[in-house]
Amino acid sequence: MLVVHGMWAYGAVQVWAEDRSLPPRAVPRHGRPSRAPRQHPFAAGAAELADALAELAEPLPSLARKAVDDELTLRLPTAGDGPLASPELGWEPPGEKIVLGPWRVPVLVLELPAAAELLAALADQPQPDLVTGASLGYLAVVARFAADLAARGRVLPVLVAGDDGYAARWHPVLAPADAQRARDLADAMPPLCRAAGDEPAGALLARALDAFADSAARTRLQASLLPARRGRRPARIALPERTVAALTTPDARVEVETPEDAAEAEDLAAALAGWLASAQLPAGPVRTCFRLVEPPPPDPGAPGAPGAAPATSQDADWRVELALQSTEDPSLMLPAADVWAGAGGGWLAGDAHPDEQLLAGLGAAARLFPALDEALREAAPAAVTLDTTGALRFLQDTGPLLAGAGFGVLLPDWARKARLGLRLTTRASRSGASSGRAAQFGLQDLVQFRYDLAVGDQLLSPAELAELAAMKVPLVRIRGQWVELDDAHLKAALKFLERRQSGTMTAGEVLLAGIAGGPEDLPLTAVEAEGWLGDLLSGQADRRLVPMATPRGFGGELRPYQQRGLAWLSFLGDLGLGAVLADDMGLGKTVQLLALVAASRAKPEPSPPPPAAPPPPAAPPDECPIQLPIASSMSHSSLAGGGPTLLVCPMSLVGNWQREAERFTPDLRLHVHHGTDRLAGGELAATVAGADLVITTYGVATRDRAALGQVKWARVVCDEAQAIKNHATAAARAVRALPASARIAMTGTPVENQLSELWSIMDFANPGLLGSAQAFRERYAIPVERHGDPEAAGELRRITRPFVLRRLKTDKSIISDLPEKQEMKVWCNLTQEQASLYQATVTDMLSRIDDASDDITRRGLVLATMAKLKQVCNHPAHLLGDGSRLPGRSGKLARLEEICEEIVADGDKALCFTQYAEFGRMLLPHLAARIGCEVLFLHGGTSKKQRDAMVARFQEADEPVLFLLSLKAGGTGLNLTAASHVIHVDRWWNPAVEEQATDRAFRIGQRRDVQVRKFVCVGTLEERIDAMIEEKKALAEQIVGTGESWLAGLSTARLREVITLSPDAVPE
Amino acid sequence: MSPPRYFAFPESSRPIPVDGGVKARSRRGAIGERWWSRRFIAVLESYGMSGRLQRGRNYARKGQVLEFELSQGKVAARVQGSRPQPYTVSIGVLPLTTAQWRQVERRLASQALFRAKLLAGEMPAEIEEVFADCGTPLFPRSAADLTMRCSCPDWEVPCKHLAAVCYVLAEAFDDDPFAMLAWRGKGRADLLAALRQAAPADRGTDGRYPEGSSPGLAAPVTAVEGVSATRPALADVTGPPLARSLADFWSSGLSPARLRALAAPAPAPVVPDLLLRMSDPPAVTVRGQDLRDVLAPAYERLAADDAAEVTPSRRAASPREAPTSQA
Repeated sequence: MLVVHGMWAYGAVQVWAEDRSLPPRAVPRHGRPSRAPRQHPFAAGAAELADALAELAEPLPSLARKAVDDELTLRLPTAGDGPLASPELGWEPPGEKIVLGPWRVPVLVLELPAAAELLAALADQPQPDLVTGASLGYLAVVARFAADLAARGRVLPVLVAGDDGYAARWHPVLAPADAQRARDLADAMPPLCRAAGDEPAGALLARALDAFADSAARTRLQASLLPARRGRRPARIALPERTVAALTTPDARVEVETPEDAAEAEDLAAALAGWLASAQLPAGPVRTCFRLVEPPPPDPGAPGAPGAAPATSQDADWRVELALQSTEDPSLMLPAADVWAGAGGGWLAGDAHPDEQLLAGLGAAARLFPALDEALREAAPAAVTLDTTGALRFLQDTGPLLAGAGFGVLLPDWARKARLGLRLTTRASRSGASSGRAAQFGLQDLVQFRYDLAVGDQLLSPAELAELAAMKVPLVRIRGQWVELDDAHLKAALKFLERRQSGTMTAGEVLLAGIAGGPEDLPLTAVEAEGWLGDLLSGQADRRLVPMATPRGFGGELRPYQQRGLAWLSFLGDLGLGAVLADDMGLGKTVQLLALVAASRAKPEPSPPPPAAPPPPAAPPDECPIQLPIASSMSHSSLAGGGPTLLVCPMSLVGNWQREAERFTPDLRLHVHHGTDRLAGGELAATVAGADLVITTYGVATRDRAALGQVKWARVVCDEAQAIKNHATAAARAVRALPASARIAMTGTPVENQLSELWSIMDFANPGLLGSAQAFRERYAIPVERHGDPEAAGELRRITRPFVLRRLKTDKSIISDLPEKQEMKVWCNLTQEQASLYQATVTDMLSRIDDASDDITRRGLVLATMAKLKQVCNHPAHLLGDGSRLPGRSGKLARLEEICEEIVADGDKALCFTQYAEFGRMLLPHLAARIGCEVLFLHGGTSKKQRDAMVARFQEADEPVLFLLSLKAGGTGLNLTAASHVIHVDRWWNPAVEEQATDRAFRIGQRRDVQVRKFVCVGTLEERIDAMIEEKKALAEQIVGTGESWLAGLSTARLREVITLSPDAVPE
Repeated sequence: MSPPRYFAFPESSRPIPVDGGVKARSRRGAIGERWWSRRFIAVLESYGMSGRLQRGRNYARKGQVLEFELSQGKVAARVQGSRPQPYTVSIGVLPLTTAQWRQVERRLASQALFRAKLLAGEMPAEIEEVFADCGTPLFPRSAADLTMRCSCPDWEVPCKHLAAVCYVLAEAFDDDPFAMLAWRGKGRADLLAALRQAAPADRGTDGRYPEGSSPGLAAPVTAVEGVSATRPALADVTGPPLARSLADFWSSGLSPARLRALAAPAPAPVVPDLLLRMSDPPAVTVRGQDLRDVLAPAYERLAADDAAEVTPSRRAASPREAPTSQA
């Protein structure tokens, strides 16, 4: 196994690796002591490293070919004859004295832009045979930061004089916020990154940022900024032009040949450097801040008083107040008037002259805010006065510009919110429509609708609109509230008045109208509906619906929120709408889905479809203000219930689904469609036709999409739907193409954070509903993710909430439904490799057990075998102890990674117990690299001081931390109440010991939100013993308090039963 | 009687190369880039000795100016010429009288504009009027306003050594408009203190503070080799010496999530070319177009959503599928 490190030195990324298979120490030197650096004993050769990279997925092999071999002398922590190994290598640290020593290390040198590609590929994609050290991860972050600077246009051209002439470069200019991040980044530089020269971290980071930003800008720009020359090329091209040309070419060099050239280059370089320096705003603890303040409300007696017609006046007195603002806590502000008066808030204490800080900011801001110049004519200006037009310009242009430049900008809270728009109100044509029994209703239901013009939450009469239009001003006060009146919106509104504004439409059309959001130039700002439609649109259907009782034949009791979830799934399914069930992990998404399948099976055959509704009375296009993208799947309501449910999940979850289905819904006819000998053709069709629930994986669903596409599925369910977050992948396309009456996506990760994923998952559940990926990107993803637009975010929430049910375990209504301690089993499968090893171990023992001469030998053999089997269940490398790679070889590890990822995504902390310190040592670097959070490890060898530090760190950290503990070391005497998750990776088979460990998290305060997970490998001794403990049958007494030795007392026949590998252990 | 000895004309001989002159400065800031230093250079150019001036500029670029000290009313410098002994150069200007300064200060304090622009590194255009009104022009009108001396044998004024010093001086003005006012008799700290005193608002400060003690101001930037705006911002972050970082040698002080958060994309600016608007590009044309207009499309393209990018090849669609996939 290789642990790969990297650093920025000599204008390139230098990559090197430690090799676990090499000796830890250098050959001791003989003869005269020499100070010459020695060869690093376990650094991989450059060729070996290149070979290792070449075996990985593209683009790494082609990048490895671009790399050049070299050697660096690094100063590394050294003990005696060997450099210390990185923690990722997993070697025990030596007890000797540690000093800094020089070591010669072979490196692969990669220049930009290939270096950036390498970092991106290594950092973001866990590689099977490589562990990436923290230094590489760090460089990848540096590269990403630089790339973001380039993408935000925070680069300026410079002409850099170097040893080999001039080069045209893009150099970053840090906005104040960027400067702070850069400083934090410099502080976080792993010392290893400086091992080639011990340059100060800041200077090293600056050089790397400059280089990476230049490379990123070139990558983004691609083509020349200058049009191709027509006609003859002049003999001499002026230096500025050559410089601009060199800003986009891979070779940045600008040739300087003649003395005139040299003089010109020197001039230009100096001029550009001066520009770069002047563009950098000073970053300090305070900044200049601008606050737009609306004119005071008019006198009640004056014309245009509240309640009367919209009031405005062209010369309304808008003010932009000037102030100093703390950059650390933007709520701390000191108005300019106070600054001039010599006041200084407590937070300003360190600053000698706040007035000069403010003035310097004002001087710089005047460039972007010309109206400021006039105000600065005063000796002590407190505000800039603007007329309405100026205020609008400040709202729309200047304000954002100043904010982008790093100044503080505060806008009134109505800004960019209260806009002219349409409100759609509907009323059910039939009476008594409530969502209680929604099944009687469908999307064909006719409702009466009415469109109104509205501003914020105020309705606007046609007369008022006409008056507004006549005033021709962009900012008006309507009944006391200021509104930005876009000219285009106004025109659209006037046009709208000429159309019909009420009539009837179907419920489906209302739903679509709400999502389509009105025509481009007149947004639909609100939809108000009553009855079930209103509940659906408001995203409150789950609370309004009558909870569905636990269905007959369901082997468990649904909690109240699960009954509501079941009713919601059923409601959406009946409407023919797709659902995204996004409850927090541990709230029982699996159980709700199984209950849904059980309920629809218990349901009588679907009642005949509602009397054929007349085709939607499509309003003539000129009367319908909104273009409806009619999706075919929306136009019919179908009762899910007939036909099988197809459940698609990641491979690692097949065993879990199978076991949970057997446990909760034993009556369901279950078929697992997976493995090399899975059914095909007619056989598959027949089996599926007779099944209620078919479980398959994303891989098989992709390969067998044709055969599975033949089946008329009652519903298709995607579990861990983040698997289809990229809509272009084969798996996403395959599941989307499966015909189904209803679709459900299940995911525990908050979908609202990654909008492209949300689109892809929604597009599976309700194809076409959110429009094309491109349109979605432009309308929501870019405004929300790139510009942090709260308006777009709000609209997106509004249009998706009918289809997404996400409840958090911290919701009050949920907590009260939860038991004190939530225990669950996590069923894992073995990989083929694990199964073979397991089988071999079993065979070996059974062949030897009869030869066991005495009880002690037999006992020893049994216990050793048990231990080996448990190690196999953990990981093949745990049994073999050969330091071989971890990823992809253990079903348990795969589940552990997934669960830890979810825990970290939720921002929680977890305790993870293993019985084996050596397994913990293997997990530590792997999980740290894979999960991306801090991982602590406590084992028997940990000193008390270290232990206390770790416990304190775990309890106090304000970010996710994973705490690995060996059961023995962590079982007693620790207070780890910050954990909200407890995981038992392997089992002690002693409920009392496990209980004691679990109670670390409960110790104080009896928190209610702790989830305990016990990992069990399906079809192995783990499952059998777990069952015995659960049943607490004859063995119960023996089990408690005696560890595992009772196992040795079993008869050979019984032993064989317990340890035999059953065929369903491996899903393939 | 031996024939008279002729001195070689200094301009025909090569100057002695200099290490560590004021060269770094002259390479960084353009000479006479901003309007106020251009005005100053224009006075020199009015002498009409272009060849000498050109050589003076080259001197300035090569770093022949060894020492350069700006004080009230006077610039003292030493310039390395072709003789071993550097020439002593001084350029004097008539400082304002105390009364004149008081008058100027009153005028400058009456509008926040002056201090705002000066502190932002710019000479406000209106300041010329203020000085003129107070009977002392800001810029020398002619050679008569300057006292120029050089110890070289060249009898012309200004000689190339004087010209070189003038260029270095103009550059100092580029860097910091306060320098020009310091030359006229009032240093940055004194002037700011005086302006604080003169400002009409009631205040309790006593005025004086040490030069450069006010952080975050657009103070003169020290010369930086290799042109970087990131380096000054990070210069004081050194990290502990390697030898004292042995315990945590391999790791970053931050958790991976915190570290990644530092590179999380920041909101894009409202206009892609914000930087172009915030500060003026040098007055350079490319094929007859202003540099700003040539560069503006670059910022559009940098911001373009579909711009090429080194993207991590996204994880496989179903990462959980990959490990055990043998079916």
